[in-house]
Amino acid sequence: MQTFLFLTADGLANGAIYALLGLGIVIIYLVTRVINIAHGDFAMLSAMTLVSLEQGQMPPTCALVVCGILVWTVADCFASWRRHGGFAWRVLCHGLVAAMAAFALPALLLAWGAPRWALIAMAVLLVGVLGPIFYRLAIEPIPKASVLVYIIVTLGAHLVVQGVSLHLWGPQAMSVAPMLSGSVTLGPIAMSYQALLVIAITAITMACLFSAFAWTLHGKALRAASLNQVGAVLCGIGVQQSGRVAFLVGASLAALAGVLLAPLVGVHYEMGFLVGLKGFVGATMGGLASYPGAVIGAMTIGVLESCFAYLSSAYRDALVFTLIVPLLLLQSRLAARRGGSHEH
Amino acid sequence: MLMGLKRWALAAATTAMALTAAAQGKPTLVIGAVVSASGPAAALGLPEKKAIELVEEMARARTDLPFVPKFMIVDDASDPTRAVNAVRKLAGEDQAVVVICCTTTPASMAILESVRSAGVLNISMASAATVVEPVAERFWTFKTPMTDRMQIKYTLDLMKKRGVRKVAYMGLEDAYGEAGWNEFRKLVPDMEMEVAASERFSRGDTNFTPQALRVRQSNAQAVYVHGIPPSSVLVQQALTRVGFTNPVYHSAGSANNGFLSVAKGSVDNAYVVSGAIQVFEQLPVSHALKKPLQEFFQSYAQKYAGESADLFAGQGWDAGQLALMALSAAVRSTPATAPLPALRSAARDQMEKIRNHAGSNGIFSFSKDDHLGLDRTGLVMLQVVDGRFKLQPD
Repeated sequence: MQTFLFLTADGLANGAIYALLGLGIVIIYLVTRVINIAHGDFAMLSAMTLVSLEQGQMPPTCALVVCGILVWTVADCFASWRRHGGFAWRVLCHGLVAAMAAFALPALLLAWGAPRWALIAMAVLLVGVLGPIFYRLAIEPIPKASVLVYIIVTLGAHLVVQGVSLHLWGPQAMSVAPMLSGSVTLGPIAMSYQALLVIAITAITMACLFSAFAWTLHGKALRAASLNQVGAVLCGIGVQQSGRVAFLVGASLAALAGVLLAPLVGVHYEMGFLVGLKGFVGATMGGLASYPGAVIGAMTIGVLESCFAYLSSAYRDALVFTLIVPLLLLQSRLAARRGGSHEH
Repeated sequence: MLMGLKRWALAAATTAMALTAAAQGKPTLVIGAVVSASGPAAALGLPEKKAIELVEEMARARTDLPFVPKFMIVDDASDPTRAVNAVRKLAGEDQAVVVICCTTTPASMAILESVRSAGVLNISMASAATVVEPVAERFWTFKTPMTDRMQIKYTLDLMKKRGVRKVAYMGLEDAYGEAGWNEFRKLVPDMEMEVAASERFSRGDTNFTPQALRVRQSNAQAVYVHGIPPSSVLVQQALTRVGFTNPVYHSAGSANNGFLSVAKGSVDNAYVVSGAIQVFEQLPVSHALKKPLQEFFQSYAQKYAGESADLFAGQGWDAGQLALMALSAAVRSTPATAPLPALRSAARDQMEKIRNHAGSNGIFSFSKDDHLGLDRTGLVMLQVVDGRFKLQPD
């Protein structure tokens, strides 16, 4: 019994992390049809950024963001020049201001000696911004491509991000102090405050997200764009705009997962991929189409993984990933019975 | 053009050296070295290269050598294919009598055939035992670093001495962890001990509690963790969390500062098996390696200001010294006019005759059946006390 409680408690804490990632994967997929293989890398980048900030250094992520914004600006200027013939001074100014802000904000925080929560928020913000930058530079230039093409693009992005991170931060593992240290004894098991914090923050984030989707105009527009792109465009909702927002939300969720995970398992450049993949399996459990489905799926994956590791540690990942085959079969059956498909 | 010039300059330099050597009546002999000075294994290869350069500098100052050593150091960029090409060139064009190669195990395995067909003595700095085993097939190959088997055997002996009968294994599920498990699995029954549990984890894992629970429930009296930080640290934390209070022993993969810095005080009391070189300052004066290590650390710090010799520099140091010893004995035992193949073969034979040489890894005594030749002198058990490694008395 005690064993089971231990396994479930740890499974839920991990499941909460997977849920944040899975949710981002679903949001991005529904709005843009991109299955983001590189999703876990956003989590890794935010954890790495937090490490740099805590050491009092300018995080290399800043350079990535600044470069991204500059390339974005140049691309926009070029596009507007081709369309209208004139030079888009306004676009250029906006881009330069944004680039300067991306550099100045962390620098100011560091100079000010900001408290820990501000550094964590900064790490999430910097990596969150990378989402729309990635969308603008890698996805927007190939609109209406097949799902497979997007998968390959994000797979390439994953390899690039991992390689660049290895170069920027080196191969060694680093550690981050927990946001809440200590642990509490719940009946027969000990839970660290950090694990409880992970579950709590995930729950709060999800509540915020669901209410935003239900009651705000932006949320409704995003839902509209994910349900039917043509209809959304006819209603005056920009597809590109909603794609950028989806990537901003998705990357921010992943970044949040990264900073929450960092104190639990340490930080190194390879940490993102496997976590992202498990978030993806969780999202697939929910059919890649439903937000509550993704959350429940990810939680289930967390608990199952924990139990599998207990039963046979050598095969735990294989068992988790093997789950995806019967799941997909089941879902395609259900979809066939409903007479619809994911491709709207 | 530049290449041509360089080659001329090199030829001129060689001739000049040969002339001075001839003036002393000593032949100039080439010792080739292939290290991974760039690429993924550069963290290992660079200190090795520096140590070999140090050996060369010190050898030139010596007057007792019966030859003038000329080290040619090539970078294989951590790529086994380039290592093979480098060895072929060194053994062919450059007429090396001894080859020190390579930094990594894959490269050392890849060059086996080239070394055998060239008939040249090879000293590898790679860790896997398969580099020199089976000895019958590795006639020309020797190596310097101690193996997993030695470390596991040493750890198990210590456990047994402390009354442990049932021991659990926890290892990484990669080549490192599997190699450890294979040795562990064979050694434990031989020592009349029992494997209580065998669990795996990976570098990317987020949850280590299930494995720790299994180990606790197996009633193991001790656990051996064959991993590297950060996962080896997380395993230990999970064991503490589920209430496992018996001793935890870590492999040499955790005998580094990464282990301590990731742990931040959470691995106190853990045991870590290690090479004596890691805790050279803590060694008692009576330790057989204290003096040779002191000499090595001092000369390394002199040549490379602000740097300290490490385990990998130790490999380069040992390989270089052993090459010089084998060559000296070979030159003395063969007539001055002996052709290159005879000299190479003599160098290999003399290598097998080296006894009781105190290097940085331990005391080397090679033989026909042992091309690693290390005894346990170089092995020590450390314990983490107040966030630092502390040498355990035997």
